Amino acid sequence: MRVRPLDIAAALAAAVVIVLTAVAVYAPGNAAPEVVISGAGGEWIYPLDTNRTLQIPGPLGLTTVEILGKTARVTDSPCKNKICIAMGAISSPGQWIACLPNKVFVRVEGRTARGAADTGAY
Amino acid sequence: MAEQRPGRTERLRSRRAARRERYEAFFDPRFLASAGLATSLAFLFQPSLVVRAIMFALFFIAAVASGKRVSPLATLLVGLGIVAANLLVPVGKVLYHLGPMAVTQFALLDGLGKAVTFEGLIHISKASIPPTLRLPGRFGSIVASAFVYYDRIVEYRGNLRPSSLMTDVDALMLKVWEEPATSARAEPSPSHSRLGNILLIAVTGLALGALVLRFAQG
Amino acid sequence: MLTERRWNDRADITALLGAFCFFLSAVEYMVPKPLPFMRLGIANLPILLATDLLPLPWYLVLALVKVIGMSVISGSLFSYVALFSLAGTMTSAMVMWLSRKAFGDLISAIGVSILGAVSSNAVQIFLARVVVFGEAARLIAPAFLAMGLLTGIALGVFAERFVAVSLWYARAAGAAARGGAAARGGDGG
Repeated sequence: MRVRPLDIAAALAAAVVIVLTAVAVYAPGNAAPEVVISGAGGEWIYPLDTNRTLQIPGPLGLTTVEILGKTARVTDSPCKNKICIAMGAISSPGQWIACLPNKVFVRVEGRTARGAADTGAY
Repeated sequence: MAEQRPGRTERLRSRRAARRERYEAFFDPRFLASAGLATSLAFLFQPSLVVRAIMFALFFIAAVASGKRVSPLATLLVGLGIVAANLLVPVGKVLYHLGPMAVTQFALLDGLGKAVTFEGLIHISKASIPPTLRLPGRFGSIVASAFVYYDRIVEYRGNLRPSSLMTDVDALMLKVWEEPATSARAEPSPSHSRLGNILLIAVTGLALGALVLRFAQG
Repeated sequence: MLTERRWNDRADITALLGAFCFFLSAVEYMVPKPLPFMRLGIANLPILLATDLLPLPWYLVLALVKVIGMSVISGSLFSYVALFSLAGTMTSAMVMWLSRKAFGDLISAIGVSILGAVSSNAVQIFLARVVVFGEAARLIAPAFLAMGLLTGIALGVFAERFVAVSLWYARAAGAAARGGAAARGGDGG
């Protein structure tokens, strides 16, 4: 039984693809970050890489959080000073925006375990 | 004690075989397959998860009635597996925490939807595709020939030993290929009941109706 | 109605290989797998053997016979299982055909089989991600692809050895080459 040159090439190519895939999937740094929003009504989690607009209820009304282009920010809120809007966009794990009057807290967290959020990142 | 279990399996199997014969005699195979296809499409495109869940339950019952082998345990496990996989990436409002994992609303509904669709299609397929289905055209006759060869392979009484695997497989292939054609599979033409056709039309109509209604509601 | 005439040697070989696909699918079904609907690919062995036996149209018919025939036997024709089978089998068949014809003597059944198995599994993972599992499908991708590499090697080795010793293969190759309307013991189709 003759093993031909391209047999080896095919096996090597396959092995390379497998290793690359394994690295892409399992390496800890590659877990997609997510946006975790806490409000008076509960908690919400969304992946950072999908564009969305969310209405978060609070005692003063609805705070609008927008996820766009892998960043998250508050675009509208019923609070008086609109500090939360001025805080701008966040995109890295650990960053956060807070609207204290409406009790809305937005933060970006990395996923360390599958589905688990990074608690204690402060 | 050891005598009871084989007896029970045998009884279940023969009851299933009896169901299968009744079912296949009741419905015209091509009509059944066509109705199954239309119903499964109506199922696939049905937006309401609740309606799909109901349809799935009915499909499951139909699959049991058809005498095909159906495993509630396997269905449940696969379904749970699909839901669990979808829950791994949290999306939406957090409903509760299961250990380190957050069960989120959108991911849960998405997972349930996918699981219901997946298992629903399997069971409507089982209920509507009789193994005796004859496909049309020249392609159909090749498939039919393949089934004949398959029967011969399964009937093969020779040995397949790992130590002489190549020669054994070769012998099997030669025997199956060159065996003189015996009489074709007995093809009884059962008289399929008209009631069967009416029932199929009714079921398909219901499924399509549910679809239209849902879309009409907007 | 099923006829007993050997109306075309190529059709005959296609039907026989298709029957072996069914047989190997049944064998594969008995092997316990963590993911019941994602195929091991053993059932593609007859298609691998056919890359040098059948002309392209019949080769494709064989692939379709495998998919549709198996879906009818297992009663899964309208389900996602059949979709996975169709995508995986057609991908594997096309990749194997192309690599066989493109690389000629530089590649043996081993390389052809590896390429077919890995690409088939890649396509199935992709479908699984879209249709059933969502992003979580990525997690099993490396293991599934690795399994493709291993079964590809195993099937390729078997095919190479089998072709060398098989009397059936020699006869079938002759019959397929004569092909056309030449039928044995019956009128042509």
